[in-house]
Amino acid sequence: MGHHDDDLLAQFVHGDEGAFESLFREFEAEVYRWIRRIVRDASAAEDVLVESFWRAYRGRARFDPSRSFGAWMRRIATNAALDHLRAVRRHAGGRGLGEDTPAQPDADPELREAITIAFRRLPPRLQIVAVLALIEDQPYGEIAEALDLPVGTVKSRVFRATRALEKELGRMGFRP
Amino acid sequence: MTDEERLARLLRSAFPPTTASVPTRDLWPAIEGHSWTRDEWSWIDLGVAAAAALALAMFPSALWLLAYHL
Repeated sequence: MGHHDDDLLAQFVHGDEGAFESLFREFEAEVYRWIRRIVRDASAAEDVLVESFWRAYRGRARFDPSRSFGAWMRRIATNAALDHLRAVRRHAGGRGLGEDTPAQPDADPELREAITIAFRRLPPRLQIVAVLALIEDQPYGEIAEALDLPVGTVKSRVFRATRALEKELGRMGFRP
Repeated sequence: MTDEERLARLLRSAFPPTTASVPTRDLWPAIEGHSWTRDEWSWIDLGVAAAAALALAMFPSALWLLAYHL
């Protein structure tokens, strides 16, 4: 970011609404795509995006203008998306993801249904790393930064998610 | 192929990776309304604050108890 953007970030920290709108316009698409990867539903992603930018504005005093706004925003969005997954899970009895992307028709339908059920039974903190690492193929470093966790913890959570999915599939009579 | 790769392939068959997308509408008005209306105090907030102030005026020693819990 150049000097112009440094000024913009400083204005944002001081509560300038125009600066906030400029930052929103600049980062909206990037943050939306990140949230969409996690919540997997376009309408929910829009709600989480609004919530994320609102949280950013409320927490602007904690932002250091010398750091990356995009990375800070992604962290806030990840937490908001995680809260969304937890809320959906509470209200839908174990269902964590509202998938609106059609499944691949060539996969075995029974096995696909089983993995869908198994995945939705994962705790949200394992779901989020599994979706980013195993489905969206995001680098561990980026996931770790977004979750504000060490890379080792992310790897360990992916491993635990994998084991939990295998166990759940095994219980349903499938072997991946 | 490792267990992780097998599971990843299976997961992708049920939950295909998302394609690049953008919001379907301008979300700034929603953020604008959300950001500034939440800063206002509701009648409940004012009522609770008034009740707390009254209670502290009537029972000043409760301030120490409150300070302890903060």
